[in-house]
Amino acid sequence: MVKLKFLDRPKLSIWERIIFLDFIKGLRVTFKNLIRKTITTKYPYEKLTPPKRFRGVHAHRVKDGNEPLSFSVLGKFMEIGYDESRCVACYMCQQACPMPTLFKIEAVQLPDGKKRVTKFEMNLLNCLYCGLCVDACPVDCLIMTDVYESASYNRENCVIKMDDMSDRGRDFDRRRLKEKDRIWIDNEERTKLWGQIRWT
Amino acid sequence: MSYWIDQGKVDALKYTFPYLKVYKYKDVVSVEIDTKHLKDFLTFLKEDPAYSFRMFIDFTVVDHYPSTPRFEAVYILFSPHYKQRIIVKSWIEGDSLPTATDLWKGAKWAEREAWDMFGIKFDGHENLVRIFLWEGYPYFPLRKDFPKEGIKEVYLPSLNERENIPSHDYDPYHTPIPTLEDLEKTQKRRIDKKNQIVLNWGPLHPGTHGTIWFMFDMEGETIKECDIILGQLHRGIEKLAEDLTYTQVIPYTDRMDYISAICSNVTYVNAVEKLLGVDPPEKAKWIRTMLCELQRINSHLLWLGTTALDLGALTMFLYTFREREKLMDIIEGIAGIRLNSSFMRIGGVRYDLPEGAIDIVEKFIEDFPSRVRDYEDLLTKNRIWMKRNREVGIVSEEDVYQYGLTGVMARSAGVPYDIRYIQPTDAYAEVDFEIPLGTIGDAYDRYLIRIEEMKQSVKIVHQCVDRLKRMKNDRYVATDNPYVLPTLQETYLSIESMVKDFNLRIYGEQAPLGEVYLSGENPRGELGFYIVSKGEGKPYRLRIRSGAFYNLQAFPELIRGKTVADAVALLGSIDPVVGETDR
Amino acid sequence: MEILGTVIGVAVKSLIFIVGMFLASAYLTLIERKFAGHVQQRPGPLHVGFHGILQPIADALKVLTKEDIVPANVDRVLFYMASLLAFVPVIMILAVIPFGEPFTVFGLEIKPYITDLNVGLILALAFGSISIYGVIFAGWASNSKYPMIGGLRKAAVLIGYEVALGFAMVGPLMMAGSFSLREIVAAQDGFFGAFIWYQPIAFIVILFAILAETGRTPFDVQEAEAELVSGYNTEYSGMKFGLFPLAEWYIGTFVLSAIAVILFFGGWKGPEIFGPLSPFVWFFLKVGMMFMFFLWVHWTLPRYRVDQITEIAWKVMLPLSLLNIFITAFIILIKG
Repeated sequence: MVKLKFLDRPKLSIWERIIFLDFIKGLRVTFKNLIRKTITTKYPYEKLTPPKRFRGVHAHRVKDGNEPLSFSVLGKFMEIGYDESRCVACYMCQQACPMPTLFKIEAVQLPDGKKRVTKFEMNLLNCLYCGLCVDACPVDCLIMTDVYESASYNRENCVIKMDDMSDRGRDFDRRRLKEKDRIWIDNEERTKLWGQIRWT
Repeated sequence: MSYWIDQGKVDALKYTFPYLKVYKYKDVVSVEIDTKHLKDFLTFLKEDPAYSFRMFIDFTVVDHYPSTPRFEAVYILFSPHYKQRIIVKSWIEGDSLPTATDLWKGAKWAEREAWDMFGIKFDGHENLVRIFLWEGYPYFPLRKDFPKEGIKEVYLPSLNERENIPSHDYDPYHTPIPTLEDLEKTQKRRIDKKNQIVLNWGPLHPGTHGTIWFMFDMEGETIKECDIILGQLHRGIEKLAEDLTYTQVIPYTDRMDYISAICSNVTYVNAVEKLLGVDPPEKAKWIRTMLCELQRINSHLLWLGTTALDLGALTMFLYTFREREKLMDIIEGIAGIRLNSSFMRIGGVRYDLPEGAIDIVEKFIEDFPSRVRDYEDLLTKNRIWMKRNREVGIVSEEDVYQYGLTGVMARSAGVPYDIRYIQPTDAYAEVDFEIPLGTIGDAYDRYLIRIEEMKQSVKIVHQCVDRLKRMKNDRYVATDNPYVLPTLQETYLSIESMVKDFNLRIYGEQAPLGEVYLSGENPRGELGFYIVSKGEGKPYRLRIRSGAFYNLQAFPELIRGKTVADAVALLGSIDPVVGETDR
Repeated sequence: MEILGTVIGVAVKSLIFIVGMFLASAYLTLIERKFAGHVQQRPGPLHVGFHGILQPIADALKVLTKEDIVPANVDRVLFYMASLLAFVPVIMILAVIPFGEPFTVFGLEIKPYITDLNVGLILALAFGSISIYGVIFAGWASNSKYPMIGGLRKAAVLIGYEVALGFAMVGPLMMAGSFSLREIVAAQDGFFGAFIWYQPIAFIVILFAILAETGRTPFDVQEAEAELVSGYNTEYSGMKFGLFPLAEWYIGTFVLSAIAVILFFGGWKGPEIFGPLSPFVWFFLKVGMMFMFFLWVHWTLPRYRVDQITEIAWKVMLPLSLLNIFITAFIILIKG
């Protein structure tokens, strides 16, 4: 039940005023923290591992035998070799994107009637990192990885291409595919800030 | 129970004003009246004790291009006595409307915004100048015939001088940008110097927490006159939303009030759900409530840190950011991103809670009260803190109604205006908490209220955690509803889901014809979404009623006669976020 | 010949004092940054040298090699003069501060002070007052609104606190019966001889006054960054900018802490547990504690508004210090 409550305004009594109790209380708090351990993560020497759900730079999963069922339907018409990007050029990521112009996707029809993706570029300068494209991908190809250091000296380098997306996807899957969907990995760096957590 | 005006009163209104047209969508009641009688009608609504719609919530304009008459004015009013809302609409003949500023001072900026965005003139408005854009800007951007990407007429060679033109879609032609003369003209239109100096406080200034441009006309250090130039962070989210599906707007709501992104998300999603008639599953509601409250603590912590920093308590900032970092960790672990989380989806949430989330939230709420005690030791009874905050920016109950002040600003004046209380969404109807109210209405009261709200939020999170523990394997998104996007797993496994997903992504959620106004209690005040749907997959008009915008409007009035040092304390206690004031 | 010897001796000593103070103030910044860091649960400078031990040198190099921008509309003479005017008088206070009793090394008598004037304290106060001009000139010469407000604020604060400071010092002076800082120290004998036990009111007034003079937190209105960007030094850059905080926050605080230690804590007196270096160790230990105390206050409290500061100065501090003089005089009269 919601209740209303009028707050009373604290006042300093004359004694508190004379012995500077308010200042002493404050000084006590700062002193208490002075003797505590520091909690800084010394980036870039130390880095936190982002959670698995982290929405970092985009990547492509490759054809490696773990494809979802839908890939057998959509991938039928595609010319995709083993260890190549799963992208089936369905353009759903572009459709889902609030800023569709950041995608550049092209596919060609091969003589045998199959399609092949020739170009998949994302201009990350325009990206909101909202993850709607990931939700839209029907073949579990486009994912977001835990890579967050995407700064670059050159605007051109902020356009990511299909090859390095596949590389990043392979790398991400190698490191974290088997990991459980956990809030984060409890390592030493986290403990600095959080202390010990009782996991159930 | 409805929070809109009841049928009996509407009938009585129709009796008094026979030419009134009444529309109803779900429980949202809107009445339409012609421009001639508009002013009388508004005065009647405000003055008549049987209605007493004394509180101004929002004013906006909808452009029905190319039909004539083209523009429709929309007033949203609230009756504090009966806790009811009403929408008053009126078709604008020509391009002018009588001003409502003599009824509600809060209409001042809203009308300026309507002039700025739609080119509607207001007879009797004291200073009808542009609000977000600069003087001399030739267009009215929210009109339907103004293209979304703007009218590109200025050649900006700097983008082309580089050897490699940045990326694939840069256009050397650009929409107009203000020149220095334009800015000077804008400045001159807002304030004329009557006293010793005009101090430009902003647009980039450490005290303004963002890009607001204050101008103080000062006599010594005393501010005699003040005006605010907004718009440095104006991104036209309302315009952008008209071209996006309902789901695609969600990431944009993050960017409004970036300090409490989840709260904005939830409010928007609730408004759309009401429009579409989607009912999210119970678990999603509890997750939303929990995250909202965590985000509220997060936002209040940022407020506490920066306000203390402004008033000189440097260490406080780091102490609050330490706790905020933990909240960021929680949000990052659950939503994937620390700040602009975009975690909500129409009909639920994006993912289920990950493993261990509850443990960590529990750990946080276990520690947090002791940290709040530390903050209180540092500040609450500190004589300097009291001296700086007491008697600064006193808000009266009448001010609250006049300006449409909401959130902590309203509650500091003792007005129990809390959306969680008067119109509970999500799981708020089922949790126990207290709403702290102030007695005097100064900055110190607002400080006390925010501290107390943090404690209350912890209490709410406790209840959410208890509940969520019992709902481990429940559904978190109502995918059986035709408007709700299927989850990834469903798309992988069933062709129907895939087709539904494709349809919703491409054509958007085909909302029924209607209009809806729903608000939520943001840490910065009432954040409301007024959505007009014309049966398409995207909103016809999305109006964002921003709490910070209306709260900030009282600033020039409250600061008059105070010093610059008080301006910092007052601005801190109003706590605007420019992303939300400018949108 | 003897005069020449004295001149050379004083010159060498002054040089040592100035260079020493420069280096010391550089390391005081490190102390402050480390202290602030740990109060806020972060380590502070860490990567230049072992635990940031070389950070002040890196900072000095950075500040010295930075582009020195002089805005177009400034009053150039005053603009340049201001940073010197803020800095030089503060360091000149050192001339009258004794760091210990004279001692002999290899038959050479060394006095660890430059001069021992019998009006030492008044000179210190006078130099302290001159340094205010630096701030006011900086505010005026910048020809900009924020610096001007900052400079005027500082002037308003200082006028109030100079008076209170002067009067508050009268109490210990009356007890010691001399203006010479050495003699004041000599008058405090043993642990319970320190004047802090007899002059608590004067001590509190002087604490407030030092905070106000040096512009540390409860009174840092002159550069209140949330209101005035950076106050009086907004338009400064490079070393000209660097001198202001150096003078105010570090040398000023250090020197005034030293005076407070001499007045209230018996200067270099203390049990001789550190051998022959004992007086120095005690003195610097006490000054260091005092300095840390100011840092502690700085990093804890919020800031007053300028009118509240002057209000406290005139309505609380000044009457308190006057009252203190009366009480002291009364007690001295009774005791004879």
